[in-house]
Amino acid sequence: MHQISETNRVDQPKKLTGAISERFAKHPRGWFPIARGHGLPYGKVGGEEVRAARAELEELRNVAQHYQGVVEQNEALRRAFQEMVVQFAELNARVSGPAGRDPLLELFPDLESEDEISISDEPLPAALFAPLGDD
Amino acid sequence: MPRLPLSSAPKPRRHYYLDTSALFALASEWAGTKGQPAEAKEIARAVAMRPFLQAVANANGSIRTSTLAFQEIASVLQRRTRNFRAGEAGHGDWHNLIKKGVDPTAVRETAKRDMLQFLTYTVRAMHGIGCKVEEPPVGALATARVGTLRREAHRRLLRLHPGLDSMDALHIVVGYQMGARDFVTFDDGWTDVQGITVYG
Repeated sequence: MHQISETNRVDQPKKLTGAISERFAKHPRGWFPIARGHGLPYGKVGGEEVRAARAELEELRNVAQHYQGVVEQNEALRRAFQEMVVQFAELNARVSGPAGRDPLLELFPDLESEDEISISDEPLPAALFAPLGDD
Repeated sequence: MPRLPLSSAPKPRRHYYLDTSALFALASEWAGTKGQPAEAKEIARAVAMRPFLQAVANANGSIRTSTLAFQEIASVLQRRTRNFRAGEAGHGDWHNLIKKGVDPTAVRETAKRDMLQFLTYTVRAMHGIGCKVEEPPVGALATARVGTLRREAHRRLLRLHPGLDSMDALHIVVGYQMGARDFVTFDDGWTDVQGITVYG
């Protein structure tokens, strides 16, 4: 129910025409003008304005929902991307080993320090040293 | 273009590709310093190469070879040492040993040790001259295309130069793909190939 003010009360609308219902509302304590801003249409023009405003609000709500969806999608993508980055880092670490380490060394630890490879320097047969085109 | 002598001045900032014959000579020379029975001819080749390779480095050039050269040396060495070790064990050569049904494990292991020892000399010799070994370019982004180009270029080279050895043609193509236009080799048949300069 609207808030009413005694100062606005009228005993009887002057004209009981169709226009009255647009400006006054019947109340047990008399007729009172319909105040603007109470959610009730006030006249023809006011009703259109409200409907337009509601339509605009609805449209804005739709736009907001749309962008909310976009934001959520972006958030999902961001999380997926972060997961990919983490997975890539793990994979890279597994393949490359610790930073600066040659992945080949994981397979062939003996290659790590070539200087430490012991060469027997056993005498090799002379046949091995023949010029390449000779055989 | 005729073969240029190793006393020539190298061109600045160029890649020079060593083929198997050049690498083998350097490895033999290195082995000789370890008391191995290296051939005088190979040592002489290496001695001739050293000042040239130093001049390449001084001219901001790079010296390269490919895994192809290592594979070729490993293959030759394996064949030679298997035959030698089989003969040493009284079976003639590797082929006879297998044919007679003799267990080849001992000979195979000894031969493998010989081959690895020689390859170690090769690596040491290569490092001694600042040579880089490169895998022929077959990166993830270019595998199929590079491989196709290489096969086509290899066949074209062999058709154009019937006297060119197949492995030498492959060295030229691989070296070319690695950016080298200058090759050091002691093999014949290279000088007819257009677009490259041969030293040796």
